[in-house]
Amino acid sequence: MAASTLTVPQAEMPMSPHLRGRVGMWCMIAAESAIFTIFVVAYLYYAGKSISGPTPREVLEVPIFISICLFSSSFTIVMGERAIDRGNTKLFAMWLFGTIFLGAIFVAGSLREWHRLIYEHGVTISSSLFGTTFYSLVGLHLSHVIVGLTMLSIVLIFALLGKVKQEHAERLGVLALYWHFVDTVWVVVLSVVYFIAR
Amino acid sequence: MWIDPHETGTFVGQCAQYCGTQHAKMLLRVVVESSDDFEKWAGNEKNPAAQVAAAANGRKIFESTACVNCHTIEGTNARGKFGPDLTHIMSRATIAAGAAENTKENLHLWIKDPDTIKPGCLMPAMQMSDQDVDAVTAYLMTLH
Amino acid sequence: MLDADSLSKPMFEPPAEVQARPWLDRVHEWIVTVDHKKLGLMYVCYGLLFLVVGGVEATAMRIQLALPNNHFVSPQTFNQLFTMHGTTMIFFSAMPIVFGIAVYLIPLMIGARDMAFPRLNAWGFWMSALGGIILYFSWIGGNGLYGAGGAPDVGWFAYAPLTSPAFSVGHATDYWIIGIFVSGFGSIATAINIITTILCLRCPGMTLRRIPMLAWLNLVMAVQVILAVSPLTAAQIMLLIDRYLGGHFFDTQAGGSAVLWMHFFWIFGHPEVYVLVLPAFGILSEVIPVFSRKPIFGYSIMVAATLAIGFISMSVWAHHMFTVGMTSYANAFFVASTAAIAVPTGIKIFNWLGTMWGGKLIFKVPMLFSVGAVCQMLIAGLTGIMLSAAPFDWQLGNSYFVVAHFHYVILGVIVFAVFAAIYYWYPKVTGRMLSETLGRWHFWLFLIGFHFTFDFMHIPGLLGMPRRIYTYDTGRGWDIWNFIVTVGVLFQALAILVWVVNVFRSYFKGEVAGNDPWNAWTLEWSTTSPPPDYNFATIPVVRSARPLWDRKHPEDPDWKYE
Repeated sequence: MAASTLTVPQAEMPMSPHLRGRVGMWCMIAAESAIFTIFVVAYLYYAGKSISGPTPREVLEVPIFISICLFSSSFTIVMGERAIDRGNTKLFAMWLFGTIFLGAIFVAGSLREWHRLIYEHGVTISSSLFGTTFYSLVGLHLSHVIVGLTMLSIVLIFALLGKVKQEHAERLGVLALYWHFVDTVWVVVLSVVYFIAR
Repeated sequence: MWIDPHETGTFVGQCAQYCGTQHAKMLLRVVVESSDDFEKWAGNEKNPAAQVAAAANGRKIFESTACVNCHTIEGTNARGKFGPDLTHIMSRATIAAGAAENTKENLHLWIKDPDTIKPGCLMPAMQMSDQDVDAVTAYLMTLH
Repeated sequence: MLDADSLSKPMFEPPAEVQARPWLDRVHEWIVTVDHKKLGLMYVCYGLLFLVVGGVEATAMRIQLALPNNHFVSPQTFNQLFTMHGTTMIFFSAMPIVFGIAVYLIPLMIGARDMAFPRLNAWGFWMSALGGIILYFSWIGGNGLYGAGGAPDVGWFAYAPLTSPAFSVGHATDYWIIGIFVSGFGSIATAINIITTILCLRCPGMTLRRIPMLAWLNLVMAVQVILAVSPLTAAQIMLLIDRYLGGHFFDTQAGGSAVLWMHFFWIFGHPEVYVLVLPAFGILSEVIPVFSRKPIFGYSIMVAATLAIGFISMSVWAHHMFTVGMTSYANAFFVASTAAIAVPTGIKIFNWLGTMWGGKLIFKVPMLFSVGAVCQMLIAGLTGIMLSAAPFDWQLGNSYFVVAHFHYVILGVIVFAVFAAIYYWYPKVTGRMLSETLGRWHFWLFLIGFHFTFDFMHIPGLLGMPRRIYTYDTGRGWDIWNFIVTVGVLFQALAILVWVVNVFRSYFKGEVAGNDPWNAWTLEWSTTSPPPDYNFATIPVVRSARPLWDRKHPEDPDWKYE
């Protein structure tokens, strides 16, 4: 075979295999975005069409504090990525812990808000069309946060056990990409539910 | 929905969107008449149900059975909206959305047990005795 | 030694002690494998099995409809048959076959050793398989045992409000939802894998302008899967919320809308049919050049047309909803977008013809099926354009004209292309050629049967026969046509029988194929037949879209002209 004597210009060396994690995660983000888009479309289409139950304006309070926590967790995870890129595993574990902590505040705060909506205002998934679309959209996002937190916690456990090394930086970057996606979805959900369609 | 007919006659059609078990038997008949005939028909439709003394027994059975929960007969206490309006049932050529001809035998069979004509339809068999079914059938046959 | 004796035996005969592995061991190897070739093969076999099952369901329906007022099956069973037939063919036959061909061939064609994510590949396959098992459990798990519902009978598109808890009592609809939901994850996983593989694992020299057409078409297909299957997943979550948590997404009494389900479903449903047809186009774009002894005509334009089809297909969905009562502006938009998609599709047909024009045509069985597919694509496309005119669709929507149209595409193009693929790549996968004689019998019987059934099926549609009806009255003018349509099924069934015999017999007794029986040009033909587990001992380096042509013709390589 003439393979070994065939030289190939640098421009024709295709993408390296080590980028496959990132490419795969972007594809998954595209798929998840499509799912969220459908729920957002349903939310917007049905805004104001409930025939019973309280209106969003009457019961929703903009969750400023937990949103700031979630957005900050993107910052902490970026700091963590930088730490592990440099090989500083201890610092990485610290920033990772911060990320999880902030994410946990978001989950706890969301559940508190749901508790208030259910017990003080009687808004459940079956009480009205607003309830159905609200809990579905916000709940779908919350489930993604929980999955993300689970993954991050597993990584934290590995980090505390000393198993996380600098060579894992690319893989951790892929996980961080997922976390940034979850954050970005919250930007959209927050805008749609608490501002646009209120 | 608007229809713009150009000739009189009876035209057959059919449900086009799958709607359930008996989608195949959800048939339509469009009866096109001249303006005069149509006015006469529409006028008759506005009248309440006929009150024939001979069919009073059947009418009493109808009004005291669950039939009234689903069917309307103008001029009686039957005000149900779930099933078809029976006020002028004998003006129709078919029953059960075209599944059977509108004859005494078919009406009897239908009321006795709808599943024999249209398995899977939502009208239940009313568990009535044969005499009661006969009486109700006779009553319905007076509703022109 | 290349004498007749040694050529009639398979090229690699392991020593006796290696062959005597326990069968349980071998089954285990297949269950835990992450090798793309084994997974691809399992995907295809799974799909072909369900092709036969779906075919049996169709045959039962055709027997029922051969005569007016027939009593071969009950109304309920008929409704379950058309629901299961549609769902099976789309999700558990066509999609697995398409994924299987992609997953098997793409690494070989781009000079890689496996897919980007081998374990995800396995997960995707087993999720798809699980979905099918869940759906088929419904035949026995419902009425069969506890009277809880039986197989779904809501149509493959499961329109609201028929699927609401009020009108779909029991679990029949849930089997439909969960079966597809589960396999949907498998589909998305495989699509992610295909995209990442093609973007990241190409061998040196293989720029995107040099990957085989099949790779391009599967790349666009995978993007469509990601963007289209997800809306279906979302809609099914909504339907489950309605059915089990008291939600009101499609509950008109509470302000919901049944039409919204239609929008969500067809946002999935239309790109889905392109997910099925683009890989078929990929197969045709590989087979036709080799059997015309000419490179594909207009590679760049074919790629551009593929991208155009992928893009436009996301915007045509409501042509399935012309009769729903959308505004005339909406109707007009979808008429225009549907008509527009005919342009890149037509370009493809012209380019296949351009490939054949002036070439040295070799009418072996793969080429027979390919030419059949191209002709049938033309006719299917024409009836599609007819239906794209909304007023025409108002008359013929939901009639047998539509059924004839889409079966023309799915059977006439996709299944024909799949048969072409099987005859073309079976030698690569198994090391043996399929019988040409039996292949010709298969082709002609299937062609006759297909045309008997689906040409004549347009007529009852034009005469007003709606679809999804379990019987019809005599006197509508439909009787004779339905009978002829059913007769065609016999020929098709016979053809499939001949083909199954061919596949099994050739596995044991077929002529040994060697590496490159068709004198083709893409990288998979440079490996042994079947390829070794690692595909390539050394990763190949390429300089054109036809690397094997360059190797066989060093005095006239393609890269001088590209």
